Amino acid sequence: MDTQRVRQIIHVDMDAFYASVEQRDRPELRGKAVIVAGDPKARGVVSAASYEARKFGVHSAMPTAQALRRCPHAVLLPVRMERYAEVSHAIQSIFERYTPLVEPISLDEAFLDVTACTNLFGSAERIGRAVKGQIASQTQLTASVGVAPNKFLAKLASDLKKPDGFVVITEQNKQEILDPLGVGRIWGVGKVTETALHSRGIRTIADLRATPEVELRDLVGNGATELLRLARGEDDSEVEAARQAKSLSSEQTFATDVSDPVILLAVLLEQVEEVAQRLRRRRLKARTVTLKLRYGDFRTVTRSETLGEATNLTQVLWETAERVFRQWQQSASGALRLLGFGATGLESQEAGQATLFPDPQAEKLERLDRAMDAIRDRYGRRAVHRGNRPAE
Amino acid sequence: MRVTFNRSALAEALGLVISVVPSRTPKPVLKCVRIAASGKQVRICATNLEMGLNYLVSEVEIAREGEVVVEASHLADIVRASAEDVLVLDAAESTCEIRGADSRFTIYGQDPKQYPKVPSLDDGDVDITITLEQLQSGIQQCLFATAKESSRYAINGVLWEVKGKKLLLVATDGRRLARCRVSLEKAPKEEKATQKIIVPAKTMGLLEKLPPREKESVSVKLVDNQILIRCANVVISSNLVEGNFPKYEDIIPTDYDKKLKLSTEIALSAVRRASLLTSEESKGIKVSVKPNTVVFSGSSPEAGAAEVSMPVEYSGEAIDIGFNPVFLMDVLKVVREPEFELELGQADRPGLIKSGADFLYVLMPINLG
Repeated sequence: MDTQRVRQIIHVDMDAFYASVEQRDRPELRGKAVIVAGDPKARGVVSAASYEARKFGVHSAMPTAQALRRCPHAVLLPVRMERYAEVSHAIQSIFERYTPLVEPISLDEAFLDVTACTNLFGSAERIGRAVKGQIASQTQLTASVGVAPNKFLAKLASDLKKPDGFVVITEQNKQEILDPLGVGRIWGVGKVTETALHSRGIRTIADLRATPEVELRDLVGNGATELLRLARGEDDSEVEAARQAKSLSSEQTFATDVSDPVILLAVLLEQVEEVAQRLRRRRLKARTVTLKLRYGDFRTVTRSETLGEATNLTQVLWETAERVFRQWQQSASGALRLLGFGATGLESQEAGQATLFPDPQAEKLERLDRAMDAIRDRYGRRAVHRGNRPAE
Repeated sequence: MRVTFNRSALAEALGLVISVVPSRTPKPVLKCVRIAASGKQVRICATNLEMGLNYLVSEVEIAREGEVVVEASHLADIVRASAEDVLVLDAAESTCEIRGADSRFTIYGQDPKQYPKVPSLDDGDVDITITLEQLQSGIQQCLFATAKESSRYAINGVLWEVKGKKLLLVATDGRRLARCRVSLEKAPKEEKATQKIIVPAKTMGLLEKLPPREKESVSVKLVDNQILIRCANVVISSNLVEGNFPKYEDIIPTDYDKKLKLSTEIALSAVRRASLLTSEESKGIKVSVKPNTVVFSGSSPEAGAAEVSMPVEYSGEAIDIGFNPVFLMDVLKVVREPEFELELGQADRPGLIKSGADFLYVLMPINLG
């Protein structure tokens, strides 16, 4: 394998994306503190805050109510996901002018591998500047761009001079840039690991790099090798183009914590119906069903079950989800702040193994799902749903 | 109760009995075994309410009759770890002492009256008898193909289909099917001559685990929704699986013209090697049959590609077909003849594997795209 190959990776991160889209669409908001968020009365959280609002300490994932206390004069706007997706799509097509190797991480963030196209378009730095320029001219939005030999450094670079940043990290200058940074800047180092490292006096990436692996192993276990590699600015992970969805999920945060199983199961059923329909639309089947349960104190647990074979039948997914829910209920209790249902282990509906026997029961359920999908497509999501509302 | 046991006989008994003890159960008493001494024998039994096991131990000296119910795993651990030749089990009301030359364990028991009844099978009117050897050989050739936790409960078990003096054992997971024919010693009476029952895979697994003894005979009786099976000093009782086993006869192809004979050992090695580079996403291998050669090939976009060929006498039409390599390896491991027959139709129709007159295997292809 060609390990010597020097890659050229670009990370593009849109600045305060949702808020910027709103400010662009409504010029009167420019220069003002804008918060895109869920309803504060229903315990919504901040999705994005303009830089004017960030000055007051508002950041994403913060409860909306708290954000408004910090920045009472901010303009509060609801989330318009479809609009952001539209703009994101336009940006995506700019990336694709340069390389097919685009890995979208979210609506406002993507990795580009331009190693193979530098002959065509010039250096990675040049491509990065061109992408940034075209985003600005075509969408009137600013992006922060990082150019580096790997994904880790590229993401780090785009973050260094935000907003409207442009940073190039090379094999030559990487250590100089990394060393003074805090260990928290490393991929995968969260609060827990950071605190553990701090407790041993390991504060900067330079400190980390100077720590022997054995010593580090005591602190972070098997992650030590990877951590040291990152501290040296090494990262092999590939840009995964057009990556297939790995999971589909639906979750709901409640206005007040809910402990009534009747209500929880009703919510769960709705989520299962929604996810099952999305699976069918994408012609996918799921192997594993996962419930996400977040308590009032933000403690979050997941419970899952893997099926013998992948399915996208609402009934089968629902029976599984209900079983997982009941098992959770037996072993735990408490009011939930959030309940979510996810389907993972996705595979294509057609691909793969053919079956020996028609399964009359499955065929019946398939016809039912098809009929319900057709009604919903025509008359809306609430037009029809299952009547087997769970009884206690 | 006070009984002196030959330790290794007791260990063997517990080793088998414990396989029906559930690891998790809402009823704590089911984590126990019941030990009852009377006459010249000790009966050890366990049940998980789906399946029960009765084991008679005769290498014992009973000083005082009685019974005790104690946690199975504790007792088994103690007996297994001991190096003594004999152990004494001395049970009072709610405790059981296990004494060796240098040791004394006291474990707390439960009320024997709380322990569910575990059915036994007396001599007399049994429906079927078969040698243990025939039964176990049949199980070995089909049990692997049963479904694991399918929502079609019927295929989570093995179909027993009596046809005169023959017993057909059929298992499928919906993608492949194994059928094996074994001989009965005693055919059932008229009214049960065409009986079809589905025995849970777990019960079949337990039968396969019975210590093989030459010429040992297995007696089977069907009562309501239960099957009772006696083999020497062991009686297994099990609920049957309810539901309809799929009509499998229709899917066994009879019209195929592409037939080849392959060496079992060489084919197994070829499939294994061709599958080395396949991944979870691209789990199929391609079997390409051409005049005089079969090529097994597998690849995955991340890892690379593999190709293994073997010579074969074949002059028919060429065909490419995809199969799950695991399904092929599973069957080639249980084929006993040095050669087997592979029959193919089209790329979207099942493959058929035959070995001797009594074994066949049908497997659906994978669409390799």
